[in-house]
Amino acid sequence: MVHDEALRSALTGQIMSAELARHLESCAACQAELAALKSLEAGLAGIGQVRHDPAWEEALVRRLSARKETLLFRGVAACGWMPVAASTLVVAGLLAAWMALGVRGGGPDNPESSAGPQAGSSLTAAQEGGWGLSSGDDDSTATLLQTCESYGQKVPKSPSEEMEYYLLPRDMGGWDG
Amino acid sequence: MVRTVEPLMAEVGAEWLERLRKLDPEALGELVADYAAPLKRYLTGMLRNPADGEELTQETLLRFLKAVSSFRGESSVKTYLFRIAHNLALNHISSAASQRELHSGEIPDERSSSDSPQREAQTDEEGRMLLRAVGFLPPQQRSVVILRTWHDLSFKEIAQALSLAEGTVKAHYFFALKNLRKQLEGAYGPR
Repeated sequence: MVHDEALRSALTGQIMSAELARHLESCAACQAELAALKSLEAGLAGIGQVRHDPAWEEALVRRLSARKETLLFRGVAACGWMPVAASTLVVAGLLAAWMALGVRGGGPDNPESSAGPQAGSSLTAAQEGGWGLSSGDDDSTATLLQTCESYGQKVPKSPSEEMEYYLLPRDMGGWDG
Repeated sequence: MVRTVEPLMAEVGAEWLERLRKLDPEALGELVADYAAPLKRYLTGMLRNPADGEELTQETLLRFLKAVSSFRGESSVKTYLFRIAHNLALNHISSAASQRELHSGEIPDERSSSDSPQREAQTDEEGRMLLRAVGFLPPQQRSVVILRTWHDLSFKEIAQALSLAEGTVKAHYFFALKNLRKQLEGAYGPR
């Protein structure tokens, strides 16, 4: 065990304890083994020459250059998806916002909107939900009804009144007053 | 044409790496000139097959080029390349096909023949025996021996390249030399 430790330290340049150093100096077997292993190291270095083959190296450069498009595309692909993803998100966000505004603009308080009372789908939604019941237009509807009330018009207070409000003749307080 | 293993670029500039990232032909030529032959020698030694060595050298350089933009220079380019090469070699060795090759092939001899014919014959025979013995070492020991004695890497660099502790590398090296000595004693008798 001490032999191996001393030899390993000597071969790999590890710092050796004083005890190991003394052992290596005094042990003939260790010295012989160390000499043989060092000779082996020299032999190994001698068989490891690197041979350059210019033709092969030139061909290799050509082959690597031929992969240029793949390699460069990979680089672009690795970092290029982020702007694309960001743009897609922005477009999706704008589209969602436009659609939301379009739905809100479809109520009777925005007659200029293309999705206003004239538009079939928005009008249907308003008729089905009723003014007082539609979720997004509570404030504007309440304001409108208060204004109507202040002018002495009858305004619906419940769904059944709301139904009557629309079915009764106009002189009893319809939309056109 | 034989060149000794020259000290490879230990520190590379960001500018060279940038040119390499853009696959500038000159930078590519420098990369191949400096590293392809040592990588091929290493891989051929590990795989004991020149064709596989050449193929994996190309693959090593390709992988390096793909990863060059993320190379932060924490290790040298040489160490980084040997790490890629080592991982590719281990993958190759662990495949069933190459396991079969492992027991039939020998490390090709790439030495120059500049000695006298008599000396040449003797060293040729010794060299062949030694190459054969290296080929029979377990992969990790083989890798450490090749990187240390053929490519002159320090134990620290080998540890970085193989992702091992430096002490483990030293132990692999020592036991590899002992194994080699044992194998050669079996072939020649005690030396």
